[in-house]
Amino acid sequence: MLAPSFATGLWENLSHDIHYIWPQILLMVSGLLMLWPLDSWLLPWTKAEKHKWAIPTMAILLLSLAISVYTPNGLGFSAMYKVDGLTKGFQVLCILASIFAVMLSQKVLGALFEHTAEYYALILFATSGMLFMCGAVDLVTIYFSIELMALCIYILVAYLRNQERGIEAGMKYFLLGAFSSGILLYGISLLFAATGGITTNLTELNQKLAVVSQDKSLLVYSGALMVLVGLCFKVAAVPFHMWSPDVYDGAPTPITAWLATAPKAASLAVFLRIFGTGFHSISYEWEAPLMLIAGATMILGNVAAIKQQSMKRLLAYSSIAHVGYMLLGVLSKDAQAGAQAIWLYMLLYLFMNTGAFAVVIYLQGKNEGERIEDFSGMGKRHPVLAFSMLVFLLSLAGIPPFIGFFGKFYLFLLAVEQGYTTLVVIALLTSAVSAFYYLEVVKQMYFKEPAEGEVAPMDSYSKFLISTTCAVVIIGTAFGPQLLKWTDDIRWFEKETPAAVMEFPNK
Amino acid sequence: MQKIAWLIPILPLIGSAFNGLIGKKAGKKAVSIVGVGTVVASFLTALWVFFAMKDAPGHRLDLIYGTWMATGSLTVPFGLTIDPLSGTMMLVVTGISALIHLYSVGYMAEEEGYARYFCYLNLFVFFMLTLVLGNSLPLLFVGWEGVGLCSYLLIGYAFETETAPAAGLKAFLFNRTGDMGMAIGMMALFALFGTLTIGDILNQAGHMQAEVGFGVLTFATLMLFVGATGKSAQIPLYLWLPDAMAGPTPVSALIHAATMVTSGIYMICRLAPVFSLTPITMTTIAWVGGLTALLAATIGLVQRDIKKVLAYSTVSQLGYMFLGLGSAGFAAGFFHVFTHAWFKALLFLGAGSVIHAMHHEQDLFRMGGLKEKLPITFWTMLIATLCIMGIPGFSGFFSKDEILYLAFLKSPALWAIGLVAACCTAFYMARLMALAFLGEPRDSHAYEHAHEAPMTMTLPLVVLAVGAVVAGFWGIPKVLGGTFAVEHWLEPALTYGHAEAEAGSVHEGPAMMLMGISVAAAAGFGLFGWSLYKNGTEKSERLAAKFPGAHTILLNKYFLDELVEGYLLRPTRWFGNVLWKLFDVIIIDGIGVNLPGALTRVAGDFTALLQTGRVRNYVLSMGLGVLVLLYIFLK
Repeated sequence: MLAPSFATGLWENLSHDIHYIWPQILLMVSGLLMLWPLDSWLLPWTKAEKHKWAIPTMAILLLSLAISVYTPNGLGFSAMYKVDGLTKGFQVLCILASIFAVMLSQKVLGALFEHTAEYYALILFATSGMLFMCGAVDLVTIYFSIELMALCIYILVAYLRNQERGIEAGMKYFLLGAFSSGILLYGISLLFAATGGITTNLTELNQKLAVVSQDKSLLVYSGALMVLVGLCFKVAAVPFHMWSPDVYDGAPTPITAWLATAPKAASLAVFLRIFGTGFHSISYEWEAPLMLIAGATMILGNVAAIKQQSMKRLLAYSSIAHVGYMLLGVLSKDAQAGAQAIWLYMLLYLFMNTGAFAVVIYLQGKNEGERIEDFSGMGKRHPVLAFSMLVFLLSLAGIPPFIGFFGKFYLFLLAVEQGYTTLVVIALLTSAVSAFYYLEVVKQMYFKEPAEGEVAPMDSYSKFLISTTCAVVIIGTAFGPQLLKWTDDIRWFEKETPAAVMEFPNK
Repeated sequence: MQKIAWLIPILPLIGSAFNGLIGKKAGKKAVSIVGVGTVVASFLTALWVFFAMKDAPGHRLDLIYGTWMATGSLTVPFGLTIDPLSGTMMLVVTGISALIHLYSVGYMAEEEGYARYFCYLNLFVFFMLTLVLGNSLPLLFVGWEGVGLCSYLLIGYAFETETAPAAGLKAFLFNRTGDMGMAIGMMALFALFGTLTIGDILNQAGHMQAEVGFGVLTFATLMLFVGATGKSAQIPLYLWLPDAMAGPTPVSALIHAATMVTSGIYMICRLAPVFSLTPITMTTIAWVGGLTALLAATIGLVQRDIKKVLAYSTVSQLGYMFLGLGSAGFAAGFFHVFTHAWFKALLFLGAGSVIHAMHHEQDLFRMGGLKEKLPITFWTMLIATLCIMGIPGFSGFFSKDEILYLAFLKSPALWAIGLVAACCTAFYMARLMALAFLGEPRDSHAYEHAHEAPMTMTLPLVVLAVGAVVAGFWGIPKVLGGTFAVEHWLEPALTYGHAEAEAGSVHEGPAMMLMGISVAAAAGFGLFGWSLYKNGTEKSERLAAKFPGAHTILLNKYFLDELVEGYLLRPTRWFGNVLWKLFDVIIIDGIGVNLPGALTRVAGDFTALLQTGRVRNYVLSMGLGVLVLLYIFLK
């Protein structure tokens, strides 16, 4: 039941539980300050100087990262927001991805003189939305935080106003996103109705759904399915993925890299929250559809990537495929192990993906990198860059010894243990297919004659990002076998503390 | 204290690592010091260990350093055995290696890959010593494979030329063919004896009766002999050795004359108690050896390349050694290994000195008159020539005569073959010496610039010449009042304290007469060759014109390379081609790889069609997705 004094107790709630959401508050407030008064009054930078916004943005993100790690565990805001291992773990991923996105942006925005305070503020807002998503344990909070993130992303996708492709992509994303929001909201309301219109809290829903009467099963089923569809849209799972290639292609490339990681990490946290714990009692209802979706996602993502000529589209489809793998973790009946495997996979994917995009963005500065052919002869033109790209691609393909292999290995191992053998077979076969298109790029780099033209010297952000991510992917290999052990101690799902229960007087 | 024997192989390995890793940066001087120094140090250690072994009970040191591998019923220790056989071989290897390393300092001074050369050469010494000292067949096999590898690397040393890498590859392939036999033989021995430790095998073999007919033991020894034919260049696997002369001359001297090519004989001596149990194998070895000796010697008669003559001579002499082994004269065979190492190394180094002086001219017909220019080379080579001819007083005489005598006891036919080969040997060696050093210079330009080699090259020549003369007195035959001391010395190793004394020690039959015949024949043919060639090539050309058929056949080495090419290589290549086209291209690539690939592509095309870019289509697909899911699961 909703807390009785929701409106009147707002301030009491806020002051009592505010320590759970300091990272979000920090991001929000600094974002607002960046828009006004900092931008126009206190820091009146010229257009050429606006790239300096990256520094405070990254500082704020780093600060929020530190705060989020040290946030105490607990349940707050009338049991709508929860801090536990899952929250913190995925918040770390989202913030890291956002920092990477800011760094990636320097080259593109700098070339177009499009640095503005709004760009960075929007990233901060979206990130705070993601952080809320990671901790949301109530369908309403989940819905609102998803919208908070999504609205900012719509704008960021269409951020380069003079590029038709970007505008079109933003528009598409917005329309389809609105459609999917409708479906999600409809699903939520069906579930709300099916359980007697009392609660949207996941824990309570779980209890109520377990004992829901037979005549309401249609409501429960369609409700759960629609919530599933709404989330599948967010992570671009087949057949709700159609937006993603177009949007990835049209968006500014740093935003594309970001889209492939941060929102997906947050959405997967929600996935785990809802299907790992919330709908646990009705897992038989959503398990089969999710299996179908996961299988289709792995197949289509990988198969469609083969045909792509554009590097960004290729990476878009590749990210669809990776989500397909990660859905295996959501299916796991052992939610702890599932969360652990997905988190590890996402963490490793974050580094490989960022690295690959950094190379693409770096080449893009010379109107290159968009097409796979632009990579021809890279091995000769720029051996270091080509080698890094080789490492990222092999890692993305999950070829040992690179670190991507361990992500896949743990995930697939878990899925086999949980009995999803067929899906793992599909995953393995499609992984083999993925090697095909990743290696196509390698072939271009090393076995084709170089295209014309010099390669511009690297800027410091590209250098830093590429070398760091490459080092992580290579050196991490040495620690690959220990990764699982190290993360074993994280308690992804906290049991509710007695103090939290006490906040429900009506229970 | 004897435990430090491990230093003997390890020292050259250290040298090799140094030269390979930092030799290029360290400079030629450091490379020379380390390269030669480690081998000399290894020689000194070997000398010390050798005397320790001499004082040890039973002339035998078994040094176990631990267990190498233990799986199931197979346990292989990691250890070295030093007994009279391996001890002698170890001294020969390290001693001659040290001299040739020293010689190489002068010979290779101008070369580019100086450090690389010494890296390989040191590595070779390491593997050769592993082969010699290893106390188990697997360890011996490690050395066996290792020397093959080094041989390959050193033959192909001048990798920028066209012939050297091809010759290296040829050597490697022939060796590998033999190694396969070696491996099979080892497995068969393991099946029979249940161990691969050489000492244990020999202990058991001592209690066994000679095998009647063709049994497992015969099969095992025959397979080991196949390995020996590969490494020691016997019929049918000898074709690689003449080509191996593409390597630098010191390499030819060390690896392809003195040491590596004798490892087949060494291995058989090592396992002598086993081999002597199998009469069929022994007879095979004797005949293969005899025929190889004859075949190679006849080819050597007409070769124009100085190194090719010596290469065929080596094949021929190796044949003698096998003839000796096959005639139950393990000591005699090994004795010939010992003497041959000295004089053949000397011949090659002398040839190297000639080639060096003539600016890499190897054609005998373009030399001549070098006696005045290269006196040291001439006199030392002359000593070696007298050795290999079998002139009394020189080392070759003692060992070769013992072999011929034993061959006669085995079968007079073998003796006859050996005798003819000895005549040919005397002839081609006299021819070589006369063409190179006597008569008028046929290439006046090169002659003008010819000069004696530096000290580092002449010193080894002199040392080897002394060795070549002295070495023979170790085995003065009984018929001449000697004791054939070498046999007594090697006895603990060859019989392993079981079998009674060998046949060779009982000198009966027409020993004196046989010796007289062979010496007279060798001297006669030697003088014939000398007189035929001492004033140039005209006389010989007239002689060749009289027998055009025979001359052509010999000049083309019986067309054996062509036969191998036509009947073995070409069909193999054709078969490989068929396999490639049929299995690889059509079945594996086509049906196995490209078909799924093509199907995936089609699927990719299909999905690309769905991606229209229109929002209404996307919404439709989402809506349909929801409906389909609902339909499937709501039924």
